[in-house]
Amino acid sequence: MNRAERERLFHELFAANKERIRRLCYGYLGPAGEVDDLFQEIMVHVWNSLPSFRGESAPGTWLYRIAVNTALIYRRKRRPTEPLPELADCSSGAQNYLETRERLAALHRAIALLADQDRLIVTLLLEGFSYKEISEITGLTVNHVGVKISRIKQTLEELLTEAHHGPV
Amino acid sequence: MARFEELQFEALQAVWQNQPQPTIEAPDVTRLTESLRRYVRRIRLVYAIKLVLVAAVVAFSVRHSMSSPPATASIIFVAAVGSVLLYVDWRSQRTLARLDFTGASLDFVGHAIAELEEQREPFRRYYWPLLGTLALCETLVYAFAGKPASLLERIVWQFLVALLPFAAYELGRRVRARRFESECQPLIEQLRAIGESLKERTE
Repeated sequence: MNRAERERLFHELFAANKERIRRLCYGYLGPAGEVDDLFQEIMVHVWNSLPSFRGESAPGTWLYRIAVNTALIYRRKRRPTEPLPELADCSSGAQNYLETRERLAALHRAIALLADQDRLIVTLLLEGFSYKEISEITGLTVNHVGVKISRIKQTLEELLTEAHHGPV
Repeated sequence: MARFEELQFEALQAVWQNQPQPTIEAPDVTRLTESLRRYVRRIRLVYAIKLVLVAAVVAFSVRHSMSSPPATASIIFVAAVGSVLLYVDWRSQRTLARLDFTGASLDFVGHAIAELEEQREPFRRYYWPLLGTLALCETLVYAFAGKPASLLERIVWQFLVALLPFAAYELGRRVRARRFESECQPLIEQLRAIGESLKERTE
């Protein structure tokens, strides 16, 4: 793979996945994390790994493996808290806007309470990855992924209910 | 549970996927490459300095033992062993810097732990062959090039000279262990916990 081809592929992958990858960073690190640092580190690893990309797995799966593995090995630097991003579009009504914003904040808080690997798995699930794709990214069997997801969903439900109604 | 899965999770997915993002500029690939190059340059510089130090010690020793060919030969052997040690250390650092991030997480975590553990004592496998050779060569150097002294003095010095590589190794090992405890151990523990949790049997 020559440099021009590598750059082209990199920019293609970046354009197609930048927002999903950034959401993964955000989901994994939470509001207190250094999202930009992790995002940058993932991009460095993607660039460095491109010469070994053979197209044996789907580009999205390949990219997510790098992203998840980089997140797993990432060491937090404990910087000041980063605020949740502001919701830009409030055209659908103030009530709806506030509800969505509150829901997103509650979701972020609930994800932040999960274990490292569960945060990554739930982020993949929220992005719409299938059990099979999550299994390819993590190396777990599809059945194992299913059981894990079921548990994570249960925990998430409890956390979100608790956040909505207060502890039972 | 079924209600949550069918109704709420889809709604959460929609909220999640539609959350606003700041504008993300495409990274400058030259800058991405530069960060790796800086790291490689730093590692090379460190090893170049170590190599220069070994070469300086060898040159100094050869100069002071010119009259004794066996001593010179032993010094050159010491230099060779020193170079092997440096090479092993450099290779272990390079392997760590080139972890394959494209594998499935479960394999990646296992591999990363093994590579990080290797940093604890990369010379463990070569301890006796290399340090034994060093000790033997230094003993020979001293025996052939040492200044005339009494028998007792010679025995004491001979013993100290033979002990030197082991003492130097132990010192280096302790310095490395302290660095390892602060830099690698927390990451190993984090990865172990993740690996265990990923592998955790499901009932």
